[in-house]
Amino acid sequence: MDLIGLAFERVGEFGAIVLSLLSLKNVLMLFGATVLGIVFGAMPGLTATLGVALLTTLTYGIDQDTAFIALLSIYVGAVYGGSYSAILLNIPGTAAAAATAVDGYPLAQKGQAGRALGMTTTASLVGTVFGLLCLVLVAPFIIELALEFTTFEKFWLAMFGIIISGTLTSRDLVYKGWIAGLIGLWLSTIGQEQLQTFPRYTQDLPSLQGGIDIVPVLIGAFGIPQIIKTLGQRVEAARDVVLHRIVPEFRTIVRNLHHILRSSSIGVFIGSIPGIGEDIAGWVSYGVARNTSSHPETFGTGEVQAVVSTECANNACIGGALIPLLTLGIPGSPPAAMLLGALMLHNVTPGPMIEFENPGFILGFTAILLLAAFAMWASGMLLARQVVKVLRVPPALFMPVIGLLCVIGSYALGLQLVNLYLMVIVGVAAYFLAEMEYPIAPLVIGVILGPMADENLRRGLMVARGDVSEFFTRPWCIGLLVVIVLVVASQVPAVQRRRRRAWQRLTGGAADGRRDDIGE
Amino acid sequence: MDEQRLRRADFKTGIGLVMLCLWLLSVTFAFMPFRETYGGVENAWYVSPWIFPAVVLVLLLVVSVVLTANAVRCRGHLDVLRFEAGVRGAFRLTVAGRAMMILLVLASAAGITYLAFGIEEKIRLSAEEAKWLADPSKAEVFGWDSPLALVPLAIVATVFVLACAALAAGWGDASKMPRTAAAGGREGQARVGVITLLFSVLVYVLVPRVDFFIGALLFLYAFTVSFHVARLAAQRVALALVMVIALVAVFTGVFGDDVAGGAAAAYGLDVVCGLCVIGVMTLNARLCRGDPALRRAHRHCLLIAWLTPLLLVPAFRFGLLVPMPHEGVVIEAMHQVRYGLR
Repeated sequence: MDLIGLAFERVGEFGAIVLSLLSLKNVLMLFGATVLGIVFGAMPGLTATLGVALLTTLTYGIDQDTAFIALLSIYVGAVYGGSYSAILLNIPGTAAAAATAVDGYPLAQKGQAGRALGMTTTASLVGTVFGLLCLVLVAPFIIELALEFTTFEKFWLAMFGIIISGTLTSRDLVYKGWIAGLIGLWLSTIGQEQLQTFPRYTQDLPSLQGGIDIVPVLIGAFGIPQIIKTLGQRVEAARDVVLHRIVPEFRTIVRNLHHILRSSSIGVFIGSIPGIGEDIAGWVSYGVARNTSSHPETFGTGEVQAVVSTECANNACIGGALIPLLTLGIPGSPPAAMLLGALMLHNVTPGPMIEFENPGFILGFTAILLLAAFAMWASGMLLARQVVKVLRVPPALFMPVIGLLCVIGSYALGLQLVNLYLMVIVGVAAYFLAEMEYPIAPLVIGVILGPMADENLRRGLMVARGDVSEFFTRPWCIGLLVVIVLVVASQVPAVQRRRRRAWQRLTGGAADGRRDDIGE
Repeated sequence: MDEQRLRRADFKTGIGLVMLCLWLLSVTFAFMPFRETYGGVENAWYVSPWIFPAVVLVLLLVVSVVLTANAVRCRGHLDVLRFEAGVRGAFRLTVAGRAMMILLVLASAAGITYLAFGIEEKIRLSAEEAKWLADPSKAEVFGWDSPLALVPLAIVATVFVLACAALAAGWGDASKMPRTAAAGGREGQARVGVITLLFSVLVYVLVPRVDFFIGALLFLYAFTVSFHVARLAAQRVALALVMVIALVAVFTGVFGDDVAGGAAAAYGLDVVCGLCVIGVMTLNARLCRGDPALRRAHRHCLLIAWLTPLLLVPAFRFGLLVPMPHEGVVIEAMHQVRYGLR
């Protein structure tokens, strides 16, 4: 009975927070940023990360609640918006919607574009709400756990974040992800270090003494390569996009409830792994849906189940990505990395102490996410036909504007020209690295987690008076170390061969094809 | 990229990363305090600022070596060199390989000089620091009393010797070497080059010296014309404009802003740039006059080029109170209009 009472009390508290956020200014910001997010997501070449990055600089001067409403709304809107161009043009607006295009576009070709968009809109709403529920339920436990972490565990946690994101985001050789992460870690060491204020790799340049700002690195790493890639590939604008009535498709959603629950769980799980974004959540969910379907042969021909699964997963990923971000200070996805920069700009330091330093912050953040989810659904239902018109603008016209916004955005936060210089260098380098199949997310996560790893390594050594064994003998350290070693060892070709042979022996060879399918 | 091109790129990146790691490790060991005093405080090795970068760089070095080895295993080295194990005289460098090796020789030579300077500097600094200690005899010479301190120097010297040897041994005729496919998409490369050029000119040349409004106008116009107007002459004129203005800006930067004399010259570059941009816009409008589709595309470019800075600059400058990197004639005029309206 007490538990029910407590639950009601928490729900009441949550409702009061939601209501307190609904001022006219906030509602306007909510819908404005959501529609902007949908436009960003829908336009090929613009991504959720870029949207959050550019809006971060604009929210610097406004109050915390309104700023976070704007940022979360554009995030949710952009992840959802990618499905527009995926369904209507077969060009995913964001990587997250790539899996949606496989079955969404055939549906549109059958004259069911409105139905497909209705389904993605509702599925995205359900996925986002599922993700935020997980955030609310899981975050307190992780925070409690993380409070037990001392400086030794924090060092391994940072290394774990980089190794895991490097491993899982590499499309070519796995060590390319590790290289990207290690480059990011090295970049984070530039400037005066924290313990002795010794200037490292500054070449006596005063502008580098303060180290490298995260925001220009993020804008450069995600913005410039996107511009070069889009214009380098000659992505054309849509010519005639016809969209009739959009229906919510609640009945279809109810019929696919078990797929929705499974896909949303996949989305939350993948989102909570550092650096892994919505795109991987979408693909894994698609693969699982196809492999568990009783009619896998219909996938790729306009299967409703596939569209619902991918959209649920990529939106549930948002809540998942916020779990490590808010509780451990480790971003779960590239847009979450950008969000980390925004949180720090607004004097919120994510991590285990977040609820002590900002009581009720996670609940407030979740309330904003809920509002953003409903704003996304309402905007999707009412404004879809207007948003689709934006798809007719050629990338050659809007990409230069985005480029200029990247320049102003990088400059506006620190008012330092060196940030601009850095942004271009990082951007061009990130483009060439991405061309050579180096993932960029681990690089950015390396820059973010570098100071944490550096400080905790040396602080730990100071506490242990130089005794390195402390890093290898504490229970949590052993746990994290074992996971890191397993992840690294699993990439050794000999280990992979043995694992494959063992798997084949177990399943009689049948499962291999299925695993490859999911991986694709 | 296809598999073979990826491995070729891996080989070059791997070599580059190995060189970079060795260089940075040398800098780390040569210039960062180890056990000695820093700022008058006796240091312990475990608080030394080099620990973390050194750990990261060693890991990066190991992974880079693995990347290079994998590239060699997949024959990704053919662009740069060819060798056959056990065959005498079968080691040959290509033109790219020779260039890489010359670079390696120069870099390692510079590294040896740099490190030698570093050791000398450390000894000097240690002697200075020792003055602040109660017992100067306790001062340690930046850890250089240990033979381990000579490891970075030895590594860079080995790289130098190996690179020289490779250059001498592989300088033969490489024309019979197996050719690899040419790098793909000249047009794609040109596009990447143009975008990089435009960003570089905006950020490194225009933003620090030209009024931000005019810089943005030039950037947007050249960018949109280059990619939206399907007429080569118009694209060339726009890019030529960027280059000319960049050269003028660099010229004034090198010879000083007062080259034309006095405070009035502060706006001189802005005015010249502004007039050039308007001139090129007019010229391109004439070039596109005959074709309605081209004319419409050019009109779109003009709209974007003018409208974007007209909205963004006042929004940031007067709305968000963000000072622009360089406020010249146009932003000053905006200030005057704003004061006038008040």
